[in-house]
Amino acid sequence: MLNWNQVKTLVLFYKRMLIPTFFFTALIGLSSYSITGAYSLVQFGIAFMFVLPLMHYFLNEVLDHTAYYFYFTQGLSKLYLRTATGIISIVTMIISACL
Amino acid sequence: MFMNTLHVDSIIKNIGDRLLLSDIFFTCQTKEIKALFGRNGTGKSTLFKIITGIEHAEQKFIKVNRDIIIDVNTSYKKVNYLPQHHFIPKHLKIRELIHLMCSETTIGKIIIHPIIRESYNKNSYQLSTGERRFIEVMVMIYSNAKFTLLDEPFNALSPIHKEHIQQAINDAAASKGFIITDHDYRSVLNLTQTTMLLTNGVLKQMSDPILLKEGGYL
Repeated sequence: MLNWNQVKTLVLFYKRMLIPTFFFTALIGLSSYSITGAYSLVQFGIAFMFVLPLMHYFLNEVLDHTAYYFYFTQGLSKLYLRTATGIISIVTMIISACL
Repeated sequence: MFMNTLHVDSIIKNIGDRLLLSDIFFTCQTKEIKALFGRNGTGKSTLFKIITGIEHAEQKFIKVNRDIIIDVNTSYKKVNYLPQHHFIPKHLKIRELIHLMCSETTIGKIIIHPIIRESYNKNSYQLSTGERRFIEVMVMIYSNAKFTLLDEPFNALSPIHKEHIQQAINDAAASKGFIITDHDYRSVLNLTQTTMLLTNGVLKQMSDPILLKEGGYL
C-alpha cells in the first residue's frame, strides 16, 4: 500500500511525462487521420500504450537515469516504476477501447 | 531517546570471478558516525547499495532493530543512501524535494542556509553543480531515515560548505546514525569516532586512523 509521500512522488514522476506523451500520441493520431481519414479513442489508446513506455525509457533511462536514486529514497524501485508505467498504459488503452 | 541499531552481516558480493565483498560485518547505532575508507574500486559504494537494497548480493543479512532489509521498499524509512553523483530529478523543485524527504521539524534547519533559501522555488537543473550537491547532502543528512549512508558528501563543495555539512552531520547525529565514505579523509576523520577500512574484500575495524597508512589506504 502506498503512503501519501509515495503518491506525491508518483505524481511528480508522471507529471513531466504527461505533456510529451499526449503530444506524441496526438501526433500519431494526426498521421493516422491523414492516412485513414478517421480517428477514434481506440487509436488514441493504442498510441498511448506505446508512447508512455517510450517516454518513460527516454526521460528516465537515457536523459536522467541517476534520478532513480531519488525514487529509491521514497521506496519506489525501478521495477515498481516500470511496472506502474506498463499498467497505466494498458489500463488507458482498455478504458479508451471501452468508451 | 530510542537507540536504533543497523546490523550488517554476512555480505558476500562477486563481480564476475572477483570476490568484491567477503563476509562483511559491522553495526551502527543512533548517534554513531562511522567512517568507511578504501581505495577506488574496493566496493564501498556497492556495499552501501547492498545495505539499502538497491543492489543484489550473493548473500546478505541486514536489519534495523528487528526489521530485515530486503529491498528499497523495506529500507527507505530506515536507511537512506546518498550516491556519489547527482540524484535529484532535473524537473523537481527544491521545495518539493525538501518536503518529501524531511520532516517539519528538520525543514527549518535546512532552509536557514542561503543557498537553499535562494534555490527553494527553483528546479534542480537551474542550480550549479556545487549548489545542487550541497542541497542533496543537506537533505539526506536531515532525511527521516534512521541511518544515512553518505557516499562522497564533500565532493565538489567549497571549504565553507564542507564546514556546514560537518556541523549538520554532528547536529543530526543526535537522532540518527551515519556511515560516511569520502576520499577527503581529513573532513571525515573530523567527524567520526570509528574508522573502517575496506581492502581486498575484507572490512577491518581500525582502532586508530593512523592504521589507515598500514592498511595501504594513505
